[in-house]
Amino acid sequence: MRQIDSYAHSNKLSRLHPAYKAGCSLLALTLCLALDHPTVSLLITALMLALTVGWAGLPWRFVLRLLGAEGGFLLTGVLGIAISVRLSFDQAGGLGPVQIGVTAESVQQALHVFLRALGGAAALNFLALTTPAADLLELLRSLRAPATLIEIMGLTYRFIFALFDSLERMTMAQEVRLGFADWRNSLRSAALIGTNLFVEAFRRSRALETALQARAWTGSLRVLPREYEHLFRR
Amino acid sequence: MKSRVVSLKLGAALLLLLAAQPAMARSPEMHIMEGFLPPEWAILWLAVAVPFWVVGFLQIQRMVREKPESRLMLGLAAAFAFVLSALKLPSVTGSCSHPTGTGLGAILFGPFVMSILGTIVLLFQALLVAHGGLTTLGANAVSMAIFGPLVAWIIWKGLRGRLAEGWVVFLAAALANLATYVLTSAQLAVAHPDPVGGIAASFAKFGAIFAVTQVPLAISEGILTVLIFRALRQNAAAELQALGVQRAQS
Amino acid sequence: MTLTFRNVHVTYPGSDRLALRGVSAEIAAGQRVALVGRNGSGKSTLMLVANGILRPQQGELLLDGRSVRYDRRSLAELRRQVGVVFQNPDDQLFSASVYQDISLGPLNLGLSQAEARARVLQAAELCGLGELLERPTHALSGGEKVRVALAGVLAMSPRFLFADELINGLDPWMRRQVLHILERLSASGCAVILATHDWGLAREWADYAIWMDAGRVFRQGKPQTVLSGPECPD
Repeated sequence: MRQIDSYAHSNKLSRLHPAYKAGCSLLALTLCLALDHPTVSLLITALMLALTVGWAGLPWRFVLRLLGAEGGFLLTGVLGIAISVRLSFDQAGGLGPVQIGVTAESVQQALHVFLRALGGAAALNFLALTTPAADLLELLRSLRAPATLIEIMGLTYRFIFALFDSLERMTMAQEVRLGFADWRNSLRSAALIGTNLFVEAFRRSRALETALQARAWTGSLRVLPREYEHLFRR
Repeated sequence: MKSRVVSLKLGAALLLLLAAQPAMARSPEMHIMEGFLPPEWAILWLAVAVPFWVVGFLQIQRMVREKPESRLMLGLAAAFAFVLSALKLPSVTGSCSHPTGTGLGAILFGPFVMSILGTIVLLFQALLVAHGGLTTLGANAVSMAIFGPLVAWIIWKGLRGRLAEGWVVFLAAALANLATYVLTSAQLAVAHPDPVGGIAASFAKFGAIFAVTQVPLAISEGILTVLIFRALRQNAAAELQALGVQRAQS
Repeated sequence: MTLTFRNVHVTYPGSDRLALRGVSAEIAAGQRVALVGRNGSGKSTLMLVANGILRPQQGELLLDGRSVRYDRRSLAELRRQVGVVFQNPDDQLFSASVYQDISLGPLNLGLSQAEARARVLQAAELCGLGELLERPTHALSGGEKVRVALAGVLAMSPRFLFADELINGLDPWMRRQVLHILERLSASGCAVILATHDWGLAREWADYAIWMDAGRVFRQGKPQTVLSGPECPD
């Protein structure tokens, strides 16, 4: 998670206006789904990989590893499509023998979906790896999404990392005390961590409120817009 | 007609299906991955989600108008839900998964506000950890941010006061977890009907897996939620009250 | 310019224990004040009162000899003049980037974007954050977060800066850097009030000391006299 986020902030395109990158990614996603053809899917996968590595300058090892992990998930996923099942019922209406196997058709369908989803994953990865999440929120704001939602999402983004740090600390503190030694302990530790996280989240929202008041808060979280680079002179 | 269809008895079929266990495009927490749904289904589920989002948004708008600082609490709540879904949750079978948190969220915030918070979580999961996706956001929101919480909310509202609170929380969280899973399976089944056996067969595929792997996980999530809820009642009564979760009627 | 606490009694909302019981003190422009005392003695509470977040049940707060009324306008004026940096920087930063976070205060004061921008750059320069402006707040180190929280308050150009345990837990280099920032501030005429457990620093750095105990001022005056005697912890 941190790795994806830190690439999003440090690649060659991170200061580029998010509209270009979101446009690229969404266009690729749309093409992938709308044309729905294995060749198109493959082309888009290759193109998005090329953009991520060539244009944004991300290390190809990392990009491929990420897509590979997603491909692995997808593979187990399309297995469900590839394996075909036929239910049959006897005269009394009970379940008879179940036929199970692979057919040329089902394998083809599985491959088809696999490639389409891989293209989708590559397109989404391009966006996630090149664009800081906060920029996407800015983009939504400029598209007239309601300010309240954008502010809530901004706070969520900001505090995911802080709470994640706490989660890691608490998990470690439980582990050194053998909190995950067996099922009972694990469940108890998980509940303890969950509870503490909740209390911490709540405490933070209170502390944040105080800090905002001290900075003459007027009720909205207005900040200066970021300055972006553009592809073309305007 | 088909190249190689083997006839098997049910037990053997189940075993084989278990080998394909994590089946269907579920990342560890049940998300449907990007690109997995054909456009018509992606759009349909998005359309189903919209009315819930509208109501949830109006509720949030009202909260924020009355108390501007409630946006801080809502932002933190969504962050909490995101991080909770990264918590290691042991299953009785010894495997390990992650809680969906939908039951707890629905009890704390109600199903409509939860539909917004849950969708925010899903969006960040797609962007920050590459789970789920943008075109499948609608479908994922319907199962994880809307249907699961709705089930939990109905159980919570309907059984409160008639059953010990612990049991109500358990049922709400466990059944919300199951409901989410069943709906995800159904979403996948209708989008990818089995070429031989049709939708019923694809649903059966997931049903089989579901019975064996998901029930224990749902029980784990149920117990976890009870433990958390009980601890919150003891240690964070003021916070719960601020969120509008009243004392249990005795 | 002066900030005066006159016989301030205060309780936290929802509690009836007096957190401050009759505190009187006066702070003048450019002063360097060390605020010392046990945990729970009322140092942090005093800061909340100074900024108008807590309203005294009895006694009053005066800015330049005029009693602070707790309406919107006079609170805004008070918060423009009195800044507070809280103990935990993570509870004060809520924006996605350093630049944006620092801009919140100036925008809350109703400054134009151009003015706010100038303030941000100035505060960032003072706090040595020039390089970090584009960085996401969640990826900062502890010392960096402290300086961003400080810059966020300084961008509002306060005449009084309250800092709660600002240098706790910083490494000696970062500590020196932060002290240097405070030095420049008081040279520019801003009063700096530092709550600290570091008695050595308090004696050396401050030109006025306030020793709080159990919600009261135990002693105040010249650091050499206030911070000596058999009651001292060191």
